[in-house]
Amino acid sequence: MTDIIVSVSGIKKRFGKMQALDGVEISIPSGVSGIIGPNGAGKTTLLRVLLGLIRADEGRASVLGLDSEMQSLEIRRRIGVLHERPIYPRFLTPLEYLKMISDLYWEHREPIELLKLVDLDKACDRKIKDLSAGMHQRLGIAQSLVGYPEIVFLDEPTSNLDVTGRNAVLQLIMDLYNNTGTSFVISSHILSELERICHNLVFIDGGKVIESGRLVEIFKKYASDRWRVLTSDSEVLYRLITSLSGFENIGITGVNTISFSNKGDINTIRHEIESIAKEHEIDVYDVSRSTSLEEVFKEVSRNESE
Amino acid sequence: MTRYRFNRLSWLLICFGIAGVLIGITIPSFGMGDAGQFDPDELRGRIYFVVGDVNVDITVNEGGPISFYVLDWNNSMELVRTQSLKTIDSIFVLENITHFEGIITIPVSGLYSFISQNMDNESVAFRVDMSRVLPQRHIFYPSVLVTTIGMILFQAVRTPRSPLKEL
Amino acid sequence: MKANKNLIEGIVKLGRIELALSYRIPLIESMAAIVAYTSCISVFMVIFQTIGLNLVLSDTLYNGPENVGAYQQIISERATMSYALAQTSCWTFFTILVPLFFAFTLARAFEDGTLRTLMSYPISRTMLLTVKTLVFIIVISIPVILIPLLLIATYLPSEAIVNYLGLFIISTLLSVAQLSVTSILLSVLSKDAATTAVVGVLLWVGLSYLSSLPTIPIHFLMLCSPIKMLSNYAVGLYPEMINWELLFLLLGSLAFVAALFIIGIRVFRRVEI
Repeated sequence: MTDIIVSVSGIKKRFGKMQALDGVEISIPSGVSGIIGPNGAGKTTLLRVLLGLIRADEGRASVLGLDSEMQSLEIRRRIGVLHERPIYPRFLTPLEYLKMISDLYWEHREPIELLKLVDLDKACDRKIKDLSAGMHQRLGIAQSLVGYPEIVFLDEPTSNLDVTGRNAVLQLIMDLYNNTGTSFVISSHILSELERICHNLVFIDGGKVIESGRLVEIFKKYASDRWRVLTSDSEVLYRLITSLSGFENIGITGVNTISFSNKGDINTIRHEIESIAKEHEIDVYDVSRSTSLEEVFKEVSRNESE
Repeated sequence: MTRYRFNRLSWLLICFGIAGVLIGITIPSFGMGDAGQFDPDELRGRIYFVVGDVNVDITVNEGGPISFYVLDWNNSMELVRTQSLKTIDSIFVLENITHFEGIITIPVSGLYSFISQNMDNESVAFRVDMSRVLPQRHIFYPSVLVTTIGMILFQAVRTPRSPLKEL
Repeated sequence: MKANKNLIEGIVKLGRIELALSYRIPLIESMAAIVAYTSCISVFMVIFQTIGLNLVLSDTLYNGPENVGAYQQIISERATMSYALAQTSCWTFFTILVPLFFAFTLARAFEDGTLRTLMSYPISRTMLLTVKTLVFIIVISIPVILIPLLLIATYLPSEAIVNYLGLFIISTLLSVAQLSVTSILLSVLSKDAATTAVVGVLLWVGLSYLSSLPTIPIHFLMLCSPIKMLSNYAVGLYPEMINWELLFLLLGSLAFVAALFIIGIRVFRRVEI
């Protein structure tokens, strides 16, 4: 679990006037890792640099100890990739496509076995154009696993999927990691998904890495004194809490929710909030630690901008 | 892969079939024929490239009957070599005519010579006009057949409609 | 030996993928059918136009066997002309088809992300471009070379021999290669289907127009249209040309194609996908 599979140092990449990557430094250990960031943060550009599809203006990147620019072919023999919105030959069946791709690898999984692995064996003789979005994405994962990859890079693997489709894909990634031991590097902007499956996280924004490390440690660092309150009137409660001492970084996170930082214990905090709310006839339904990745990302972003 | 290959084959047949049909109906046409005056017992002839059947119109303007022969390439060369029609097999013969209008069936497309011979004791003025019959059946009908087979094959190997698409 | 075998296997495997990905149904079939139509009509037209021969009959000075030999020679000349015209007719059609083909396979692949998917597999860029070019040259050249030959063998007598057949085959391969590598270079530089299509078609139509001018130098003609130059040579338009000159021109044209191809590969290896 501690081997470094991806290492990036001082990568810079500019497209015209836009600085897509600005001195990115990361080390990703084996396991399931997530690259998180809003749209346009530089996640896909970083992935393209790692695959050798584009050259960085400055810096070095390596995958499995191989230089991504000079040894791109060797890297691609040992990894699998699912790009965002991939295009496969529409008139072929998944089985035909996987058979064709298998020919490109020295050693490869049997296509039918792969289709079973991603639960697509029943649709193996349908044309790709007739597959649903979820099936298409599962085919994408299947094709990334053809050559017994040591790492699979997935770029927005759940985009264009409904809730059921997303859950199925996430479950599939977890199962594959547990059953095959393949490491995954997943780029996504949907934070709630990554927090379910990732061991490691890299936060990217504006082409810079703003935080990286093990998920539990990041939570410990940013979410341990972060609290969330579910209330009947977040606006009024927000104003009331700002007058209390020990409450910092207060923010309205929804019509019925606010969040804040406080180093106190849960009983004291709950008592203080419930008392002040009762005085002003506001209902408080829940006071709990805020442990969503979204909150953590906001916190990280806030710290970065400060 | 088999269905995919049959699908490709069906498209190949359809495309080539349609190309053949087009060739059969748009094949370029140039004037063919012979005209003039020739002496008693004189033989005259021209070689043409013939694709399919030929529409022939023979008219003798002055003098008495002529004979008309159609020879294939080998027999044409034999005629050039021997200068005599005695040992030659013709694919079409009209003897002692002064007028003929009709279609000559050509068995296989290729080079043919159209020979006229004066059968009179005096010189004869004649005119032979020939034109091709379109569509050219040697190309047209086989192409229609190929297109049809392609379409049948295409229907036969067509993927069953996905239930997902119908939703 | 084993390395060569692996290389050939790799090219064949990638060629199959290239066929499945780029030559989508019914693209290859339509292309072959259009080539067939163009070749057939050209061959028929030349034979119809040129074979209306008077038979030498009732001639007091005749020499039968000699005349037969003369006819056979004429038929071979006509067969050569038919073959030459069928190829040059196809060439005019290719000047439009080839840039469009690469625009909608290679340049379009940059736009829609197909190339990104393909380059995620263990394929080297040099190999990909080489296979793409080879497959295209084979797919296009085979019908162009074979269909007129098949027609001539079917319709003309067995004595009809297409002269300079080797030269015709070389010129066809060279011309298709030249069109392909130029279109590949345009696709890779522009990474845009519309630009490749428009610039490619304009470039080749312009060159075709230039090459049809009577005052065009033969060296320029060889560079922009080997097929036309060799057709002209085969039908006797350059009677004073000697063999080594022809060889020199052929090698020059080959070097030009190879140089363009190497530039194409170098650009493709650096291009961002």
